[in-house]
Amino acid sequence: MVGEVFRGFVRGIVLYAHFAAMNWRRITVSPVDFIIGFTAVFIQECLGLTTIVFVMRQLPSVRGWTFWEIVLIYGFFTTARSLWHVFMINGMDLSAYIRLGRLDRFLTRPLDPLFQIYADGWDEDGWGELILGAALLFTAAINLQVNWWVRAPLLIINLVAGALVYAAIILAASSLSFWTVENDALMSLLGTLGTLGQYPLTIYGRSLQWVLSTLVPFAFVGFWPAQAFLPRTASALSYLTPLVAIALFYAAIRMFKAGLSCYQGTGT
Amino acid sequence: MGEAVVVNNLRKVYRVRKLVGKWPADLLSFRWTEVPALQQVSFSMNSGEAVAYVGPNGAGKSTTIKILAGVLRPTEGSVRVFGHDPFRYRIHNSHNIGVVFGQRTQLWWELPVIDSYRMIAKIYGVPRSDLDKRLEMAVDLLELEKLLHRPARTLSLGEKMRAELGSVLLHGPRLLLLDEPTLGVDLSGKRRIRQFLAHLKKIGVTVFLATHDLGDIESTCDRLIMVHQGRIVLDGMVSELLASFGHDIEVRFADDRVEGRSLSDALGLEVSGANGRFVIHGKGTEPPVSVVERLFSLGKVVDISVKAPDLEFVIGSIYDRLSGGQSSCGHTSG
Amino acid sequence: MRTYVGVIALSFRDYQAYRTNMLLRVVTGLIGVMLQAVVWSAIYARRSVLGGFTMTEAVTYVIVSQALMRATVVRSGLELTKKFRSGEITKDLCLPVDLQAYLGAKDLGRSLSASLFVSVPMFLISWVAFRITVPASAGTWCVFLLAWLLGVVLQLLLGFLAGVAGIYTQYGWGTDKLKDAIVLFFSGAIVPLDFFPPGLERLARALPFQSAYYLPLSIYVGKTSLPQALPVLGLQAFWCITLLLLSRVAWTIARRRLSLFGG
Repeated sequence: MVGEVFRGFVRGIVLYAHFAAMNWRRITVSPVDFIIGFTAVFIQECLGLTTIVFVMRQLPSVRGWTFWEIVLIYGFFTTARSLWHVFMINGMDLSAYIRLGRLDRFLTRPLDPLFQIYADGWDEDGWGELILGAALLFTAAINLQVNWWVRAPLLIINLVAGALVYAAIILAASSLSFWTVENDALMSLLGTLGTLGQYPLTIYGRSLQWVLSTLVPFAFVGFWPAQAFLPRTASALSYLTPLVAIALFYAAIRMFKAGLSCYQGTGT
Repeated sequence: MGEAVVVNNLRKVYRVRKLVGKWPADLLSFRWTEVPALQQVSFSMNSGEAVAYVGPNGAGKSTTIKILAGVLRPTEGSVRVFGHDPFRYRIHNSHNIGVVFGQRTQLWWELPVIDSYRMIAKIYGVPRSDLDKRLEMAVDLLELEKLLHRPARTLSLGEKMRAELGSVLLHGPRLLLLDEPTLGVDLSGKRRIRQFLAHLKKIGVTVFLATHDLGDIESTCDRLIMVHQGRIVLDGMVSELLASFGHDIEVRFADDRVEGRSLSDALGLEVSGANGRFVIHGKGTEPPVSVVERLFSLGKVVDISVKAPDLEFVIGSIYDRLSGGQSSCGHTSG
Repeated sequence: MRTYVGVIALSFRDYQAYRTNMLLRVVTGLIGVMLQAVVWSAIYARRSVLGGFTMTEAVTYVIVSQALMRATVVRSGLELTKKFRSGEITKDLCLPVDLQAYLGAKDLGRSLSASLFVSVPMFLISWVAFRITVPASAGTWCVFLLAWLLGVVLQLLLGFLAGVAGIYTQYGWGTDKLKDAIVLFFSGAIVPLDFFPPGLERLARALPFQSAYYLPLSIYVGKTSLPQALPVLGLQAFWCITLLLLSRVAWTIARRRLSLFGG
């Protein structure tokens, strides 16, 4: 039994590597697309930064947060979301997978459909976001004198956890497409709501802080996990993020499964 | 020879949300209505059989294919593909079947076809030696050698379909489920696809072919199942179906005073025409030779020709009758 | 002319066909508004003037900007590249309409619809919830609306140009997105140009994009007085004409390419 699970796990990783190779080849086939998409997303991400870099830079602190602390949180959020953007963004397009019959195709293959959706393609546009986020994180850490070498493993774990939280929120909402056909507007709403997570949570009112930590927990993408790297005020939540991420992603998968079962049973 | 597919009393119902009232109240107050897609569908297929599955748009063809593929769960009834429930044992079933969904492709759009083939083989865990063998067969039968190294997006519709057909047999399926594989494909493409299907049948692959194209049926299938509004209305051998419709006999008598009515009375068949030239509409119950013999006894025949019914006419007239049309020809078995 | 009015009316209705989506757009817009309001009040927490803007001015600027961002819906560039790719364009070129004007009319209808049913509700709710200021004089309103309209025209022209560029890059989506990002960045849609570092500010003021947000919004918040507004409108008109000529030239060249490659 354990052996079988292990074999399945290894096979999953090997297959993912093959899918990844296909996706990589796909990018190199059209380098112009890559450069345009990269630049577009890079500039778009810089947009959100303008308020911080052009305005907050001049101030000693904003609601108790120094400029570099704000940049670190922003950079952490951006990096975590970019990991989702590059590797897991397909979870957002469930309605298209259903509409175009691609989900039906995945269901005829000897693999888990959700695995296939995530492996189906990377969004290379997200690399622009990833590089910007990493640069911000790096610069902020230098200025805050974070000891990277000790904390690198925790950084990677927390970043992956943040990405997983983002993926979970999107997948859960996207699974609604099994019941209603169109939900592009909802996805755009969530994208905007997500940007609230880029800033230190305490600038918002109490109720909004709660909403962002529980109902739509974008605070676990950036704010809480990033705190583990701030010289002060690390709360327990910073270290609990990986557990939160696993729980949320598991719940999102249950939701996807429920939606899939409904789709297979009664259609949409 | 075992049974490849057994479908028993299959029913499939879709639930559709019916909006009630005005916006925005309709967001919350809606009713579910059930739309039956398939009802009381029963049929079975032997291994190695090629069955055509025909019916007008929306008759339930795609739904049947998706159920056999394990994509959708039947509402009621039992379905067995090589002895297993395809929905419950979806992964097991997937190794046995190859599915083509109409004009959709599973090939990677930007990459050469061969790359997609290798990836698909990995998904199914096909050993290298088997892959090479099957690839060779596909290239041979579908004339793919020129397509293999081109990106899928540069292929024409017919080329894409040929490449797609090649992709679904790499894992050596025992049952092919095809949903309109020749739709929009040009004549030479259709010819290649039909040759390919005929060959698969010869090597023992079971073929379930949902199609509108009667040429596909004539070249590939022995048996025909017709669905209409989710029910099977006809299930029989193509040759028997054709025979049941009877032949048309065109005849010219030397004496142009022979009357249509007396001819009709004498033969007990429907007759049209006048002035010594007639068309006799035969029935499937009497072989055309015997009608011809009787004609010779009725007067001096100058010219005679026998026309076999074609499938297009036969199916067309069944469709007409199903939708309440006027066609009055023959009877059908089933 | 009548044709284009018909096109505007049709796409006006088409855009609001899914009222649930419209509602979600308003909510999405309001989330953006809330974020801006929170961030800017945090910035002004312990100071009254920054970069020449008072808190009320700055908050009004960024919130009205959010509403304006939801008001313009430019899809003509994407439509153009899509038509080019599918070959549908050969059919369209046989129609007795000017393709640029036709696509522009469609966008105008959408934008009108979005203005009325997304931006105006956003504006009204923000007015109540965040106490933004409203121009007192009717003259300011008129000049602001005129400046905004010129900004919309400019965005339509840019959208079409991006579409033509998309024909060459063969990546319509990316090209359009790149255009969006550049326009939003240099137009002062997120942060007034006054806050930009001097070099970037000079660059932004030399580019046409400020027409889309910064120029109309400075009229709205009163940074540009009425007498000063005339040269501003002139500048906007200048850029519109220049881009119109540019887009005609680009389109002519692209069409030649079309006839060479047959679509």
